[in-house]
Amino acid sequence: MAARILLVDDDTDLSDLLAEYLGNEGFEVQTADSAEAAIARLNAQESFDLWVLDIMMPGMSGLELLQQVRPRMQTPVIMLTGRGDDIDRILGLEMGADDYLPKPANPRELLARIKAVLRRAQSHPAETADGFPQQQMHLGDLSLDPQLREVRIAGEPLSLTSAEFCVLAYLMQSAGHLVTKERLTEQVLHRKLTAYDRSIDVHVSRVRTKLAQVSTGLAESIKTVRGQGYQLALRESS
Amino acid sequence: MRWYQKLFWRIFGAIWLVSMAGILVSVGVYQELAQGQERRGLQQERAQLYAEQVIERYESGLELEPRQARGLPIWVIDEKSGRQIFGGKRRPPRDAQHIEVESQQGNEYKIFFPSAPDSQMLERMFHFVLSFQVLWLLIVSLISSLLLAWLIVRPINKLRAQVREVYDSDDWRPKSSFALQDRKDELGELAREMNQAARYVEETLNAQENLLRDVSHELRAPLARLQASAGLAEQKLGEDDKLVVRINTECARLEKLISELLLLSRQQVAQANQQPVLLKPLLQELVEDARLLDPAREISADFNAVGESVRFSAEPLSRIVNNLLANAVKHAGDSAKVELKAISTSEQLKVEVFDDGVGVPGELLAQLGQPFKRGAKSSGYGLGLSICQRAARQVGGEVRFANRDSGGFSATLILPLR
Repeated sequence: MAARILLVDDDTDLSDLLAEYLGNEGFEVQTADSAEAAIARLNAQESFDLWVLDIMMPGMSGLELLQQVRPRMQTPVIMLTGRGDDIDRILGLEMGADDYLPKPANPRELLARIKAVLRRAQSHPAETADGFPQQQMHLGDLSLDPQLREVRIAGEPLSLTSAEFCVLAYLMQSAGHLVTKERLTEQVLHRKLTAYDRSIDVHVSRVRTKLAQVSTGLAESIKTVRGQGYQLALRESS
Repeated sequence: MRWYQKLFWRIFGAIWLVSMAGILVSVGVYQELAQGQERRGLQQERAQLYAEQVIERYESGLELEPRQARGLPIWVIDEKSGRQIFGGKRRPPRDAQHIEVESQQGNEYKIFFPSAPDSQMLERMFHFVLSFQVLWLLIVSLISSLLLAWLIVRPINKLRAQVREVYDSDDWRPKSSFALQDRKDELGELAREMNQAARYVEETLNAQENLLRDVSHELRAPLARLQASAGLAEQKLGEDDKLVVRINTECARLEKLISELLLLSRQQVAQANQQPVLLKPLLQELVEDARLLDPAREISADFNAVGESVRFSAEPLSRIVNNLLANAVKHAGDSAKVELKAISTSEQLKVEVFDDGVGVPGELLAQLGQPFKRGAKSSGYGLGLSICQRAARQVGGEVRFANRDSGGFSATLILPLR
């Protein structure tokens, strides 16, 4: 079944072009020309596999929209940010976007991001061949179940986006060892680490923030190894 | 500027010289005229006295001494007979002056005597110059010309300093601190005009900047649509179609240009809510980024002179260092090594990025900070380094560009630590 994508952008000409482009690539694309229209679709119980969301829109901005729908919607989101707006980019990721793309962007690039995000979100852990952990893992109070895509701290469930879930899973799998940024980027975001790409850092810091809301000790156990990568300093509990 | 080229000394010198010359000449001429008259009167008196003696002896039939009186030769001519009765055989000189006298016996005589001698003119001048009056005049005119020169030059210097300040701080907003503005004279007028000119420059710059930003901003939407259309064309014609490749490259160039233009015009990054971060890891990260940019390039870094606990706002530091490193990687030449060296003191942070590549032609060096100035072989838009310079200026720092003596290009960023 073709993946359903909702394209939220006030530039309807662009939306139509992109919808045609993505349609040719085998996606089923719907468009919404404002944040309000997107919320209406969400309220109408329409389900999508992925949202592509423009930040700069008259009326409610993409960021506000994301902030509003995030608690009740787990659908992955790719944000289109204005080129050079670093602040928007970081904010978008912190707000729970799964990836971002500066706009204007090459549609091929957008296609690659969409595929990567969908693969990550849809992949059934059992089917992945890229070393994604398949067993339940327990480290201290922290437990992660790849099958249920669920993280619990001392029994309490923790809500993570799919990218954050992947980050934590890979870190837990290699607990006590260094995971390089290059590897983490490839595993989690399904792309090569390039210069000035801070997405993975933002995802890691987002995981930290969420852990810190429950336990500061847990948050601090994710160590940054400057210029190299990250390391989870937790021992496996019996 | 050498001292004698300074306006102050020039004005002072001109006024002093002219006033001195004027006073000396007028006083000298007056004195010469007055004293000359006096001397002539004296000479005439002497000549007359002497002549009267001669005439007395002549009329009483006494023998006349043939010798001339010492110092003042005279010639006496009997008017009646026209005979020269005194003065030897020679006739009186042509330029001699003469007076006519009448003796007690009623005879008329003509007495010739030479004009006042000028032989001591130089000596008199010398004495005159050394005289107390002249020294006094000298001092008075010196003081007055110093005062005058200072009165003229001081406000000019003040104005110059203010203009310089405006230029250095790159802040063209009208200055109420142009104290000169309150003057009612021409200099006050000049200061006001200058302020107005500065305001005009500022407005123009702002308008230009806004235009640049708006245009780049507006260009993004059509470019996005263009790229999407190019994507559709690519699906129809295939990825390797020459036209598609061409359109895609041009789209990519446009995209890069627009994003750099936006950066250039959007330097006022919100710095207020920035948490300072540890400097060393930040620099380390920037160097890592540059290595990712060109994995084959040798990039070394030296942060030994940076304190472990030194913290710094990430922006605009990272943007500038990023740009400097990217610039070096891009333009230094294939085999050139790039090096980053950071030094922090209590007042400032200095980051130097240099390479051992080809360097930059001299005439281009001075223009590097200006937008759209770039090397002949450069593939960029000439915006990267001007972005650096603007960003640095905005936080009171600067970026200097130079060619190294040992070859290669060096860019030095200096930011004040606050």
